[in-house]
Amino acid sequence: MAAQVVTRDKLVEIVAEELQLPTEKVRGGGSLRKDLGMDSVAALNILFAAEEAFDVHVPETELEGVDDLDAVLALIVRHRGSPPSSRTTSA
Amino acid sequence: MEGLGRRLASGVGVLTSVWVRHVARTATLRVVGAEGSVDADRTCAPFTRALLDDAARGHAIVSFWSADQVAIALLAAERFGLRPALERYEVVADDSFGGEMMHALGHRLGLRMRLIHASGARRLADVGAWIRNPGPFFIAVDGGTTYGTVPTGMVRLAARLRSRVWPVAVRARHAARVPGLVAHVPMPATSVVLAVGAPMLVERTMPVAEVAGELTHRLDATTALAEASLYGRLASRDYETERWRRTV
Repeated sequence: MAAQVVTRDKLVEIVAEELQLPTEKVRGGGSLRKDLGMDSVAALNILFAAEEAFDVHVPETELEGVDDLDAVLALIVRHRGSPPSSRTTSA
Repeated sequence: MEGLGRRLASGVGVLTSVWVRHVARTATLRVVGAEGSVDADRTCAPFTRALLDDAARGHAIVSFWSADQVAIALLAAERFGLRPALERYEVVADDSFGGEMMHALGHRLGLRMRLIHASGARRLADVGAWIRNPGPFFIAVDGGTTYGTVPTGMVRLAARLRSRVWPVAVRARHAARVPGLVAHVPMPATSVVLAVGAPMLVERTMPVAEVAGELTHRLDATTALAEASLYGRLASRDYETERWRRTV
């Protein structure tokens, strides 16, 4: 599968699918663990889906303490080495 | 868990393994199944065949409440017929006191133990490695969480692996409670019942909260089945009859 440009929208989609929540609720922000019910398995499933979508590898241990969407986005961007884009289509 | 607590838990686990081996020599077993296909006197062999078939076809999880974790260790004895499944399946424990105890107990009984840290970066590393390389496993599903509840992480893991989840309960007629330990400890020469509930195939599209609720219900129903089988056979004894009335 072709890697996509790292976008907040795509990440929202991934998180919403894993947590079985509407995208609006995920986009609204807040604590992934406390407000959206993310547990350790969900966090890893999100990470694995993001790795596949964005063609990036992030060590699992770096998820420790990451608790909001922007922090996940920053983590992925840091490991992919490119800034987030507003585009939502495949690269 | 670190240091002294860990050593203490391991010590308790080693002592418990000696006790479990002793109890397993004189305990009698009955297996009852919600669907009847695994019913058997004195052997888990039909259940073992079902577990080995599941492991050959896909992924499987055998779930039970923490209260049953010492009693289920009894079934590691060869004569009960579960050993071939235990050689194929891992037994998962966390690094709580009870988990460390079970880790030492299982290790001494020759089981394939997998230790998962309960929190922090090491939990993420452990669970990540586990997801990347999954094998079938036995697990006390309420370990490290509220006893008597199925955590969402367990369901998400089952969904990711598309697991067939078996709810089981193991109860001994004569068992003791050790302060600080949720598990029942079977006594020598006791009757033991393994109850096997209806398995659930967990898919990614299924609502996590509903699956957790359904598995909780099945584990409770399986526990009730084990207790009914155990105490129902002694209905002529007054105190057992009272116990029957309380538990069924």
